[in-house]
Amino acid sequence: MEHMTSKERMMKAIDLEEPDRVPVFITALSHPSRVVGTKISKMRENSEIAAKAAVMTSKNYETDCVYIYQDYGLLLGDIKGIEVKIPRDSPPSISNYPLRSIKNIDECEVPEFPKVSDPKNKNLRLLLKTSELTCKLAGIDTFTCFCVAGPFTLAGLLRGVETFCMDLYDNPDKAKELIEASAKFSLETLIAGIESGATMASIADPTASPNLISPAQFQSFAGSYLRFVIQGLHDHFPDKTIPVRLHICGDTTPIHDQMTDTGADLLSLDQAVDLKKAKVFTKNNVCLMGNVDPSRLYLGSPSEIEKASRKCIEDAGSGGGFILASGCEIPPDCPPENLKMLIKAARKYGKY
Amino acid sequence: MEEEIFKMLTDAVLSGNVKLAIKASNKVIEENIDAYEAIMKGCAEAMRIAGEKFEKHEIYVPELLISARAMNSAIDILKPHMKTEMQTNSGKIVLGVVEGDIHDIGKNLVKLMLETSGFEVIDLGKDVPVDTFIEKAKEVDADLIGLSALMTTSMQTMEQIVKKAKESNIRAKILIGGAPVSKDFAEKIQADGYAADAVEAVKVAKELIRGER
Repeated sequence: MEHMTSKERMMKAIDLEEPDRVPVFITALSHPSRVVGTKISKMRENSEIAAKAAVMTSKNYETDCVYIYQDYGLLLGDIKGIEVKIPRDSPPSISNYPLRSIKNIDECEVPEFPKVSDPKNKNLRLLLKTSELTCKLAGIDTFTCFCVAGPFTLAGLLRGVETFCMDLYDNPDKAKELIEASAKFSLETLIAGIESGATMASIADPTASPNLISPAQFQSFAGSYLRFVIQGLHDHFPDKTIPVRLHICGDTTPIHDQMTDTGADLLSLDQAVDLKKAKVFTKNNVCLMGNVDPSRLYLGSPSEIEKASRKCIEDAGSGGGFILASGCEIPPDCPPENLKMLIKAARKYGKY
Repeated sequence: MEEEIFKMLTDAVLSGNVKLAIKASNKVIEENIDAYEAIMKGCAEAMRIAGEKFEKHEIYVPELLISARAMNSAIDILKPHMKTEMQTNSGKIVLGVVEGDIHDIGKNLVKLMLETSGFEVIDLGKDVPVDTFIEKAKEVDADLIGLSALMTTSMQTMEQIVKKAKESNIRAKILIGGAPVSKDFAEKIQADGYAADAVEAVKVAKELIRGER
């Protein structure tokens, strides 16, 4: 018999202890539109719909976390010059990044990031309204997650990833200025997200992956800025426990120590990572979550997903400090039967 | 002297030093050294070494990118001086880096060599979906599809493309290349040809189109 609320269960795992069973987490941003039978654009434009969709998704698949809707357009759309296109039924895309047309980074001025407090910033206000409504609808006992992009990823988005990779060589100091400004923006947005009612602050920094940059480059250009954001968050809420999740795509094995050093409570690992090795390496010093392959969640069979989930639990579940999750965001049209297998597997194989 | 300049060019490209790459390229022209040979022995050699280092995680994407940039600045100077055969209508090639792979430096080098040998190259770019290769080849009535990959993970995608191409009965033959693939692999997945580098790609492409393979 399960006796914990989702919040208690998640907090227990994050505290590196054993809850009643392994908690379940699905990174679903666009899929919730399917759950409530609407288009992605409807969810994007209407906070009530987005809130309902996120909460329904968590209820449907009995996950232990409500994932608050967000996208890069909501985050960056208020920067001067940027245009956000909202297709009817696919995630929004951004065009006209002002810094991408400047060839040399020396000539780039650090852009003014939108301020949460300014009501003119419609995208950011919408993001926070969605967060507030989602948390309210989810209820006090439900664990909610508010996510923003990490500093390295934001800077890479603004400059274009290929250009930004070369900027690291052309003018590392200027690149750092851009990353630092991005870090301040990540922090301010996360603070606002927590104030809107979210339980957990989540940072996704996919571009800071060892598939792109070296562990040494991670240290100089990503790790220290992530630490700044996480420390800043804790400093802002001295009387509150705010768990922080860090997600980086690709095989992050070479930087698990550096990811832990950022102060994150929870490392979200992608399907490329060997969970067993990660568990041994991190010695249960940090909570791990992962890592059922999203492409298999989309294309595989329920029995395949059951097997994959079981393997994740066996690899990293022992002693607690583990959350069964999708390795990354799931494709919008994942079959519900597959997504329901995560909770089934957690109940079957993840009891403590 | 020649070897020295080639080495200078290789070093410039490997370290991503644009200024040095330009200096070395200008020297090639001043000394009347064969520009094509300078591209192959200076630039292509550097990129081959860079590719090896990348596979071994000795360098990462930023290093590959600054090397490619230095290479391009050298090629800009050298290309107009190339004396290789400049025929037209060698054939039509649809070229791209397969899905899941964003590394297009090798593909860009192949494109350069193919174009300078008189091929019409339709460049699909990087991370190209499986069906796009087939659809484009059909649309332009291509003679050849060129598939490139740098990551071991994208090898399997090549297999899918070959299979789909055979199923759809298109005329185009398939040539594969890139760091993780080999002649054996090409045979295993029933690709029509394999080329180890950009120079060989031109040779094999010609043979395939003439029906010699």
